[in-house]
Amino acid sequence: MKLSFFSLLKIILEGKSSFRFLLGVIGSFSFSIAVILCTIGLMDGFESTLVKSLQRASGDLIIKGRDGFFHFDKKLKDLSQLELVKSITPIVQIEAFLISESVSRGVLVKGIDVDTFKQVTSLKVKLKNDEIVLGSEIAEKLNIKIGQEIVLTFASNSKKNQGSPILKSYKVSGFVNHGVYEKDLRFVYLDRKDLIELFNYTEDSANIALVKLPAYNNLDELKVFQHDLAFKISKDLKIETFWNEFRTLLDAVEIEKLSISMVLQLIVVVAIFNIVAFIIFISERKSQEFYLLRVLGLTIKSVINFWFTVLLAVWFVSCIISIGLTSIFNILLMNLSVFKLPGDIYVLSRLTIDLTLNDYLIVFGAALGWILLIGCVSILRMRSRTLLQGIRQEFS
Amino acid sequence: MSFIKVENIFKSFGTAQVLNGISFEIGQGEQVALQGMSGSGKSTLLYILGGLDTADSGEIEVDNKKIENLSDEKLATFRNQSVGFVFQFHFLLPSMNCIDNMLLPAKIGGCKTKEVKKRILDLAKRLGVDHCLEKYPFEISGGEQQRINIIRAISLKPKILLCDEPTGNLDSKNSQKVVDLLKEISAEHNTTLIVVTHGAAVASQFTRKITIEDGRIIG
Repeated sequence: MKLSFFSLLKIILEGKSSFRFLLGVIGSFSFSIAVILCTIGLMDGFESTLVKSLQRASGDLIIKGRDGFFHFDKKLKDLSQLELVKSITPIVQIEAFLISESVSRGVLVKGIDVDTFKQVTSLKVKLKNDEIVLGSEIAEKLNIKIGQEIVLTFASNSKKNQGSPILKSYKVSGFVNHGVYEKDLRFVYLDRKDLIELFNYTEDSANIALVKLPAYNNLDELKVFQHDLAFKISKDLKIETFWNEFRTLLDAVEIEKLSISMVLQLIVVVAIFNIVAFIIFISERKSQEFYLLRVLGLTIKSVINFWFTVLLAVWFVSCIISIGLTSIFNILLMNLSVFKLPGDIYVLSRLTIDLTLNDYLIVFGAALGWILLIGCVSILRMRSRTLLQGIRQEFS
Repeated sequence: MSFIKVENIFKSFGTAQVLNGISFEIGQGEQVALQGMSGSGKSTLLYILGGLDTADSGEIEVDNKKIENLSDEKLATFRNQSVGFVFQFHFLLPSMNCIDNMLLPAKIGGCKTKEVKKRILDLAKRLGVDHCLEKYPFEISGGEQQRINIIRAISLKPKILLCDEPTGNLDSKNSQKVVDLLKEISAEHNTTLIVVTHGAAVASQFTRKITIEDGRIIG
């Protein structure tokens, strides 16, 4: 029978102060790891929620006319026959003012073909003639109810009436939630035929088309689809990914995530100093015990192995606790009103923590690296005093 | 034939020369008192013999093994299996009861504790500390603590028993008991006994005495 790890642990934890110190060390270390996990998780959550919401509202690819309007039937309708494309929907997009009870607001009117629009996006839009569906935020801001009449004011496209507005009233048939604050605040949906009729466009007019692709595994694969499709469409059309309009923001989040993670390593370093303090405290407080055990035949290698096992145990327990703390914070984030964000600033109105296995591996790996690095220095420091010096100092 | 052979040992700490060419031989089972004034180098010599420190130069052979050539791991095994230490301050771990304290060398050495425990129980009964086995060190007297310490030192039947002022912390009655006990155990198991002392009364009870002064043997 060997002197077990737990026998040694019992020796070093004898006394309330040692045990409390260890609890404090684990607490501070797990809290530090949780702070980093929460920060990275929030940024990932922001990124993934935004990407999902954009995809929900725009399909996978967006085709735009380089010169504005184009003939959808002539230029793009045949694309749906390709294996590369699952479905495609045309949109007429025009800017307008929405007036409700003498309050007006600028909106982006989207004339859609409801059937194909539903196939491409995940938005639930039901429209009949002279009906309109509003983004949820604009409805809330202007206090508009379903069934209420609102007026849209468009700029006239007729040379004869240039400068005079076109006013038309619509009945609100529903609200739609895009999950992106800006879209919820600006987008309204009409039947494309209504708009074509109102502006005397040709029947197949559109200035945007949304494309739904067959299943793909990641966004890089989607870019390959985009590239392939770009060769199959007319040169006067351009093709963009669904996240293109928020590309700069998403790039900024990526860079921010990296820099903040590096800065937050400082918190781990502070927690590591607690661990160093613990090692020094125990080494000083229990040096009689350690020197006696070495006199009785315990090798310095066993002592070092013991300390490394303690450090690994502290790291492991801290990682587990930090996962718990992160989950608790995520629950609070999703449920407490205090954590609701001003969507006009943050694009999304609520954030969630979204962590991938990679995030956990990077954060836990960095924490392990720190604990081993600084732990090594502290433990090797113990070797500087010889056994005889130790015995003389401790037993005299 | 000599069991311990010390040849021309030198040891210094910084500028202080503590051992200055020490040479002697001790036979197996011999009982020796290492005496000298405080600071004469007797304890340093004892610790070097026990593998707790190394000499700057010179040779030490114990049971035909040169201990200055042993690695840290082998020295630890040597301390565990071949040497028993008894200190003035009979240091017992406060987090363990007496029986666990006495079993420490066996546990560190990975020995079969069942056999060692039986031996420890016999010794405890013989030394009158069998009632202390489940007690913690702070619950027993100084004399009892020293006897527990001695049992721990001989629990693995070491070939050498090294004692550094074993009676320094005891009254005369208990001191005599401890000296008698150490001699008795040494004789019984043919264990080489080396006792460091600066007390003439203790040294006089040993047939062989080595006197050290300023790092040299003077008698």
